[in-house]
Amino acid sequence: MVGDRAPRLPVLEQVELTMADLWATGITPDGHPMENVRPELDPDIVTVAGLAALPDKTRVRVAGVVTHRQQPQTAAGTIFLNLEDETGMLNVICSPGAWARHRRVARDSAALVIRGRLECAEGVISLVAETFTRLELVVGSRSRDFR
Amino acid sequence: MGWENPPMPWRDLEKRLSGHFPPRGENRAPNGQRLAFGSEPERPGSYRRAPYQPGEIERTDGGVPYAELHAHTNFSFLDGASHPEEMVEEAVRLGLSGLAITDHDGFYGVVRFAEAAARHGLPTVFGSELSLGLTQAQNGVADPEGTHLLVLARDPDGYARLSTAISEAHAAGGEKGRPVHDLGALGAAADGHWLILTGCRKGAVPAALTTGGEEAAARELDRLVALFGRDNVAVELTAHGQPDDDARLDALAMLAKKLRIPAAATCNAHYAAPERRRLATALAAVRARRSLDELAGWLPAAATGHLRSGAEMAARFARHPGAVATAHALGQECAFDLSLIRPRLPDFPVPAGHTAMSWLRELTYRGALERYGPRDNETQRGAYAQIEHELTMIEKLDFPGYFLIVHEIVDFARSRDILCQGRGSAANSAVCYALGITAVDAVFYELLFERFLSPERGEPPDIDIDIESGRREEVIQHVYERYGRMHAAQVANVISYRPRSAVRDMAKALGYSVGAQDAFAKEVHRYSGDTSDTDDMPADVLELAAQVAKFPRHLGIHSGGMVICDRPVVEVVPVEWARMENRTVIQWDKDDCASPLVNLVKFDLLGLGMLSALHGCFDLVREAHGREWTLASMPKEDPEVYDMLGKADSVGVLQVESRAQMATLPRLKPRCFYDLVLEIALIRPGPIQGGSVHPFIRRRAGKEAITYPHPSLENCLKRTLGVPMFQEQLMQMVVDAAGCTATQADRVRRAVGSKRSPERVAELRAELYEGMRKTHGITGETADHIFNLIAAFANFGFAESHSISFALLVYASSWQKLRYPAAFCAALLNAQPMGFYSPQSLVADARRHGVEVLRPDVNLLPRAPAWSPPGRATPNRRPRGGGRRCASVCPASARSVTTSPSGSRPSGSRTVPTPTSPTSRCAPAPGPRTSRRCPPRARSTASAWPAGRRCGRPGRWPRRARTGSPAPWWGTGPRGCRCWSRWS
Repeated sequence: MVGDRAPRLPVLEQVELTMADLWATGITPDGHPMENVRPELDPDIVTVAGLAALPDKTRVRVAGVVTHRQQPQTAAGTIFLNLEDETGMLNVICSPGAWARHRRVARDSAALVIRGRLECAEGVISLVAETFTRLELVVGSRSRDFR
Repeated sequence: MGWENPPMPWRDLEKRLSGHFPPRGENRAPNGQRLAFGSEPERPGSYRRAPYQPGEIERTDGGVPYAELHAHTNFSFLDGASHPEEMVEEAVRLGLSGLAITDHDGFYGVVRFAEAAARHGLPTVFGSELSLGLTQAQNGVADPEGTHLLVLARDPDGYARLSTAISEAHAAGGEKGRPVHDLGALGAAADGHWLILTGCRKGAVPAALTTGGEEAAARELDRLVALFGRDNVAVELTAHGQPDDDARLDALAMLAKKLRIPAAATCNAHYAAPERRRLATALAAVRARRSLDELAGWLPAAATGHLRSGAEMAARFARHPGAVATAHALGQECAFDLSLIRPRLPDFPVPAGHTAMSWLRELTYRGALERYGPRDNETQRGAYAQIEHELTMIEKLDFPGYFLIVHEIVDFARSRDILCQGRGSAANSAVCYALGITAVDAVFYELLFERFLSPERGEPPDIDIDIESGRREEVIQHVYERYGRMHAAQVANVISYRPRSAVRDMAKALGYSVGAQDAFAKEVHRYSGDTSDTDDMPADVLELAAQVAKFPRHLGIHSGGMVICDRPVVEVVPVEWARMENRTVIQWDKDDCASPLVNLVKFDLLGLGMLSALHGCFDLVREAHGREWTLASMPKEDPEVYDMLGKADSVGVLQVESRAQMATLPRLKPRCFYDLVLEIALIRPGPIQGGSVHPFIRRRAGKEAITYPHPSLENCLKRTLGVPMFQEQLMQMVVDAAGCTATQADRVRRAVGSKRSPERVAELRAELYEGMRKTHGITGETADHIFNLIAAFANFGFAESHSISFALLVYASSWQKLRYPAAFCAALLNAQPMGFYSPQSLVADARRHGVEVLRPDVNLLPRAPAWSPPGRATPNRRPRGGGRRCASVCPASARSVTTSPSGSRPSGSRTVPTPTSPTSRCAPAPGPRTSRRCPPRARSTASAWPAGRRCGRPGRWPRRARTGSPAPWWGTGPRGCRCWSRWS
């Protein structure tokens, strides 16, 4: 008889599940999209949580999803990015020069690998960006830009 | 007051706060604009319109008096191509004896027009070009259908009648952009108070002339005369240089002669000067939703629709002697001042035997009894004296009605279990506190009432009320019901072209493809319109976009302003339908309402997502734990809350969740409630520049000595360690140092802070110096230093009352985040869109705090949405920017948790808070964090605040215990805290 046995469909892979979650709800409940790409990343790339252990002025590379881009009018052209990975969030400061140099990549990429210099002072950690590289995620999420 | 950073580079501000003042020449804004002392550049992020500043205009006098009776501004949306101010300036330059603004179906631009005209002494005529016979909104139609009727108000009564008629037509149309006028009814409505012009080519008479010849035109004119009276109709002669001008004008002039009615020359101006013609055609293309090429056949052949001088008109209408003089005479007849229509507040219904003032007094003292105890045994010293002082002032300024109206609105919200609280400077008032409008005890904080209400300001008080955003609509509808749709309406938000929309629309008009439009728009900076790094933007797009920037495009709804007045609002300003269901808006924006010319009193009912979230979280906790918390019963001064904030762990918390605030939290290390007040007010530095840190933080960290400019200021600056941070402090400094009254201090604050004339500032400066010398013998450098501090800071300080109001919510949301992270996260998702972070970031943060997040599951959706009040369906909320995303949440019952697909929950934890996004649920993770989940009973009972009013009235803020210690509710704060000393 036809149809008495349901065909066995392949189970969703983790990446597909993440895609479906983002598509349907905008939320990935069981993990951060960065977790999917972490294994393929250069091991030198530090997680946000890992930055706390590093000394001031260290030159590092950090990867993450861009959640905000801000350009306060009083900051004389400085752009602020907020980078999020599976371990936390990081303030990225981008000088007008660096922004001009990497504008296309920095402005249009959903996720970035940023190289820069750490600034740690009194428990506040931020990264002064030097270069930006686009990080391809299977699924991107929308950042809140220049609101 | 804004939440934005001051318009000054951080390093400059830091220098000023630290006591180094740049010489005058170096006082510059970030954009290099030179600043006079005490002036500020246009504040970034501020949407308040700067008052009109008239420039020097060279008037030409051609010797022929002429008033323009038919002119459109860019408030004839997508039709006129000049701002009202530009029209006025051009009219003044041309030496016109009056100007009528006749925008389509409304009075949209009249306030701006009247303000500018008043500054130049130009007589104003108010009118409108009514569209008759519209079957639908006309956007997207190349040649709009129907006929036009040009109406000018002869007097303020005529203005009210016209405004009412326009409102009725909009109401009859039942849809935005489609008024339905009835010509017969208009005749009755006019009753001799209007002047009717026959109008442009679309006016009934000229149109009949074109299609049916002179006989048809005569019939139409007869009809107008019959309806409006022979004295109130004039034939309009407009010469736009069309080939048929002479024949048409001759025929019209002949008709006028035959019927013995005057003929007046007009320009039918759509822009001030010929160079705007290109823009005017581009706007026409945008309105018709096609490209200029496609619209070319309908466009005027030349730039003839501009204002003209009397001499030029006389030359143009040489064939029709008297037409120009008639226009001048009619203009003189119809001109009046907009201030003549200024309304008042409605009389508030009060119980028999009471006046508004005595009723307000009664209500205030009832509230005071609850807040401060009986008069002879007040819990806060000086409370009753302060209330009496404020009531006297309110009586003197005749504002009791305003307070009664606000009190009624707040009372209504309370009765419906809707969280709300007043924000802003209203919290400086003990009367507002007693009435339950605000949550801040102004007497306890020694807040200056004069910051809120001052006899010299001559304007009504401004009370903004935050209402939980999900239910604000109920309050708004209540106001409509209470006062009627004729007396209450919402303030419009004039949506203007921003750099990106300007580029997009102009590219569209110029015929670029949709893809190209997108690409161009992306190149432009969203706010500044900076196009310096635009590589491939065509010059014509840039040029037109620059011209159209800031043009009004259409009306939106203001986020919460409602106006109520004594006469029907429609007599003051036309009301029209908004796109949103059941909303009607007036045709003016908030700045128009606030204009001293009209003084339409506005009540701000603002939606605050965080109040929704707080309410939702309490509900979820009750369902999941059976614990009943209210804002009043929450444990106060929980040290772990401050530990959490000190680590910048504040995602989701009101206000301090932003990246900039997060960067200051670890430095400030808040330890008590007042620290949160300071944190909110602290001006946030951008990047860590050359080690410049806010002097307050330096002092607080003990890296800098705490000094005061003068011992007399110690009392007022002590709580901020000698660094002025609040506007109230500036006023107090003036009071303490120069022996002024609080009213004088408010005058100084506003004069030094706003763009007043340098002479005025110099005068006040002399007064201050004199006062300082007399009171304390302060002279020389010290006096300079104090004055400089006041002047430098006048623009930036926060209102302390505002900071305190918000700090209450910061504490409440922090406590919920700490104690019930899962419920808090779920409530935040329910209250979307709100806050700084996307749902994705909120969930990620919750996960990092050990909350388990499940994905949506229809089986777990017992009912949706989570906490809509009974009998009221709220649609699923959609997060901003998400097409089909749905973040509505429902609380998982105990049953649904066990049947959840992911099944295994950490053992030993209670079915806590719960839900998050679509039906998912958060369960606590195992491990040490679990202990944080449920607040130990011991802690909450140990709080100085016995949860005595656990089920207390909703929205009621914590108040001081009436029995036992009269300490404030954060009274359990750590004694070691330095800013505490003020009260201990």
